Amino acid sequence: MTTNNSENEHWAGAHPLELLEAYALDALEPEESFQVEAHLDWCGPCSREAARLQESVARLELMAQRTQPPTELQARLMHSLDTGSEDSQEFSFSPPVAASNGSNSLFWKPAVRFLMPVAAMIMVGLFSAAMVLNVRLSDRTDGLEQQNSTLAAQVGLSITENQLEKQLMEDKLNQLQLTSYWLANPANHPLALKTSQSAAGSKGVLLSAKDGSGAIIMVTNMKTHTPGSTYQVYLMRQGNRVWVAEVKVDDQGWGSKAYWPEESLYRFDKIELVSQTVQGAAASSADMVMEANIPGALPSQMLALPAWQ
Amino acid sequence: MVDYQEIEDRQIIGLIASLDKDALEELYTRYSTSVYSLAMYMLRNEALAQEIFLNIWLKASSFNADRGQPRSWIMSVAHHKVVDLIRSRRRSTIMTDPADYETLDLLPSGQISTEEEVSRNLERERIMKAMEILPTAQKEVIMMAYFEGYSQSAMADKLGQPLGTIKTRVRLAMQKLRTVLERDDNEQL
Repeated sequence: MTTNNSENEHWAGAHPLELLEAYALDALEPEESFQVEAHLDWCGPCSREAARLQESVARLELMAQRTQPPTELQARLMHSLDTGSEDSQEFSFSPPVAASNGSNSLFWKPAVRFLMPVAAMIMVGLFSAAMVLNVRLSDRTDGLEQQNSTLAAQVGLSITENQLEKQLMEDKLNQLQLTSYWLANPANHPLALKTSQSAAGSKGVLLSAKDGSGAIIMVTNMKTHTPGSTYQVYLMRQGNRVWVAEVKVDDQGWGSKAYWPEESLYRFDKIELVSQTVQGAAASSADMVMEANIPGALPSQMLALPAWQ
Repeated sequence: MVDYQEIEDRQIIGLIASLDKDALEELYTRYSTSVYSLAMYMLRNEALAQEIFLNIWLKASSFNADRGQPRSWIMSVAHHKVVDLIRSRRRSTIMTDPADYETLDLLPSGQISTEEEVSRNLERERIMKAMEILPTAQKEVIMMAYFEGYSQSAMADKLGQPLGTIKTRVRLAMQKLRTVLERDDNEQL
């Protein structure tokens, strides 16, 4: 199902309240589910409502008959994380054991007395040949097992890498979708972020909801600043700072993050983007990358977005 | 030496997001029975539980503590995976006659061995009773959606009902279920 512009406008402004119950039950079509998820990424109230519904849904699993998993399942899971290989079967080769089934009456017959040593020599010969063959086959098997392990590890690694790559792509697509919804909503207010000297060339903008209940921060050209790929966003009020989000940039230096603070954005004085890899670490002036003063809740006081160069 | 047993679920998921395999093992210990039970009940598929935990491994960074409880998120990931598989195979795996749902009557608890088992049985009783309060038609759509992986439109086709009717039924069923459970939770406190 393709969406046209009018449907995008619908999603940008409206809340899909009538779909949240079905979403919690996984009873939506894939396209609907994707759009609801994109909405929940930026809408705090809908997100909380969906979470409450999912808590009720999660309890339905209690109705299923309880079945203990096999003990080897845990080992298989952890093994698949390490190598992706399946358990190999051991190869064993036992030399034939000579069987004797003589009877006393037979032993005394001349033919038997002649043939028995011959049979014994043949058995010894066969045994020796079997031992040699066993060694050679064991070596060959070890070699094949090693090759199998290597190949399986490569395949497993490839599968895991592919799965990780797929997940990263999905995350990126969700991020782009989310950003487009924010940009498409005319009710959102832009605030240009001022970059520090050390971050010259980088650009950032904050798009906030009219009531300040949520916002999205978008940055670009961040690669010109530091090699690090993670930045922390803080809101400041009378010298106190509150961590609100972490922005990850891709290899092109672009990144965005939607968040909704506990209080309206307009109750804070300032927003800062700092180059820390973890939240809460003490920041120095050298860490500050971008900042902007947050005006009061008067859209007319928002800074005009400068032309991009 | 980290004692993972002392760590809360949401922190465990955070550690998994940092690619801590021991944390995944601890989460497996806590939730494997629930996940496995669901996978077996819905699809009789042993390997699916392993795939679900691999999914948790890959998606742990997407868990948002502001958007719900860890248990809800884990079971949501599990259920979503099972439903995906059901729909991709385009087959229903479990009974469709509402009368068959009577087989979900509470199993005898037998000899209770752990406090956890007692708690789980009590929780199970509560959800079963909450479901019993729902009108049959509403109970039916929840069971078809959750345990058989039907989408609303597929349910409408299956039951021969208008899509709008099914959507309304789903909404009312979930709202009622949530109200009953939350009221029951408050009474327990």
